[in-house]
Amino acid sequence: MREKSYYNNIHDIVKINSNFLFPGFKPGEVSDPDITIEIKKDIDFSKEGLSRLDFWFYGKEGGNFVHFEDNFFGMKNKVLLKNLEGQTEVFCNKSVLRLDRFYPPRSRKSFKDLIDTIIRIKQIKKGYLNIHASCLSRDGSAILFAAFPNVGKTLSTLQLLKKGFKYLSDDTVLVDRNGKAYLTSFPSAIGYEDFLKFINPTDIRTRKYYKTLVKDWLIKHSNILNRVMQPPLICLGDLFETVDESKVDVVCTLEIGERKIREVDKEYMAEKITTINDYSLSRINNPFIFVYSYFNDSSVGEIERMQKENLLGFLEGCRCYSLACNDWNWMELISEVIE
Amino acid sequence: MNYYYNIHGIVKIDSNIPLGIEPISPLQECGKGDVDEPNLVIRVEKDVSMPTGGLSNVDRFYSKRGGNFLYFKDIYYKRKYNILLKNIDGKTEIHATKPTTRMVHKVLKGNLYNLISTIIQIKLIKAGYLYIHGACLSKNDSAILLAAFCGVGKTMTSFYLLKEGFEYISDDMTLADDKGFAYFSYSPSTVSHEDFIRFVSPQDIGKWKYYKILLRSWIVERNPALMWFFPLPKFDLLKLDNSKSIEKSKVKVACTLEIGDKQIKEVSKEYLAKKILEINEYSLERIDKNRLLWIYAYFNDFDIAEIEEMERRNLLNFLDGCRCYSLACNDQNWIPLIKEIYMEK
Repeated sequence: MREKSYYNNIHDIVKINSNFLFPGFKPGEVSDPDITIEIKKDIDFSKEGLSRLDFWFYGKEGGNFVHFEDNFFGMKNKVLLKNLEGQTEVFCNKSVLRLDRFYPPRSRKSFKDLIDTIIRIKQIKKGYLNIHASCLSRDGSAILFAAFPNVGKTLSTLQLLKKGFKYLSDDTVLVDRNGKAYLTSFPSAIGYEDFLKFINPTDIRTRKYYKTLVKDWLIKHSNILNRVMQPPLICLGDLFETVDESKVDVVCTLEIGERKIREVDKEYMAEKITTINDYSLSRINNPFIFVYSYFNDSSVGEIERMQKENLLGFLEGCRCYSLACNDWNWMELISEVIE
Repeated sequence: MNYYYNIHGIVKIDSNIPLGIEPISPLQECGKGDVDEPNLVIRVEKDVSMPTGGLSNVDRFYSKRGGNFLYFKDIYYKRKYNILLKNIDGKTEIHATKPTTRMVHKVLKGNLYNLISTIIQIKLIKAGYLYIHGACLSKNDSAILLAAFCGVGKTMTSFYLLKEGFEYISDDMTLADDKGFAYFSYSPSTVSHEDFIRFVSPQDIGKWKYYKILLRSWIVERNPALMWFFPLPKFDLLKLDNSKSIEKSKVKVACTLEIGDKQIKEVSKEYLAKKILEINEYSLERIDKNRLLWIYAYFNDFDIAEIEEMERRNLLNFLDGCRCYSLACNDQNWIPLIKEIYMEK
């Protein structure tokens, strides 16, 4: 029987091969991958001559690998991470994924978190980074709005999409050191009013449209459902015209407060964006990475410094603004900034 | 009722709630009453209100650029969940409502105690101190620091060294400063069943207590389900018969412990600093635990990356003049290794 294989190619920056279908992966294979994920029935790994840290982690000084082994109520949990610097290989056995579904053990975070962290480290090392921002483009020049959650990123995205802008991202955007932004399409939640105002039944299937509408309405009007139910997610990248990559000319931060438009310098902007990122995307905080850098000469602090350098490079040549308003009327401010 | 906490005169806390609960255990001087010139004031009140007109709003936080304050307002399951934080740099004030002490908020990802311990940590780092996840013991005014991950045998080693006539400084989290001194910080820690049988005898702590701890740790270890409800019993090193403690001591030897093939290797200062930082990041909470601080940093002139840089500098200065080693052994019997490096001079 042939092994199933899936791949994910993130703009030719990070290429992943896997034999398990994670969300966002497609069937097929990619040549020289940066990350190979393999789910096995069991991992045979001899622990002889290895150092042990904290009951579960095994490694060797300069050995370029970390092995995790735990027995969780009779379920064998094994994860092996090899070669974080070059061609990374991640192995785990089946019960790891089974366990993740209902309760990832405290000793390791979920397997998905490990994969996401590795992807992020690879991107940073190649000169890219993720910013918690929405990004839209017109005529090859893009505008980026970095903001905390619940400020109006999705709202302003929808308004601009209606004005003929092309979609790059509405929540988290991948940018590089030379000032370019790349299409990053994730499903995101849209509030009831915005949904009613900006999306037509013809954009998505009619049945799905009304289903989402009812769910949105219920969540808006009930305090209890608000806590229990997740708002319905919609992938804006599927509905509107997108563009693959674009040079960013204007960078703004959005804030709720008294109305103002202020031009700011690059360093100030970098500091604000770093804070927004750390708050919204959380920092590198995976125990595997700490243990790996304990045994080998990579360092989490170094990676975070590299990320800041990438951000400063990205902001080079951009016009930076700090926008604030009280009444969710971002369009006025944005049109002023673009002119 | 007012409580006070004094961490070696660096952080003086005046609070109206007791703080002896888990995240803030290594507090030394505490009691009921007031303290002179506190630099951290904690008030838990029935209602914390503040007019929010004219303030900037970010995701339920209210503040003003350069205002040196942050106000968090939410109703969480019909309870008022308000926190007002003022002035991290100078005399810090925290006003909060009662639910903040009990519930972990979805947005903050922590409760009031996380915030307080983080602020204590920041104040210590700014004054030139830092916490290291390691045990520290002293003899004749020269101390040895054993930094390690959990479960390596720090507590049992400290127990053994205490019997040998060493003085207690810490067995889990050591407070160190940038001049090479370690300060007394006390936190009882847990001990596994096997270690307990192997290293402790009934004469050390009294028969009654010995069998009580033994039975409890045996039951908990045999039943993984019980581990969810009962923590392993705490082993209180300071309550032993002839254990002495010392306020502060100069650290002469610093080493990391690892389980592996037996080795003693002398290493450089920078190498050890990197290892200790990884151990700290893994075992202690990073400063980003409470998201309140990010918003404070967004509005004010306060940089968390700078504080982490400061922590690294403090650590490098602390290790200046120490002899640094990396130790490894297989059977958790650290005593011969420690004797070799500590007694050789």
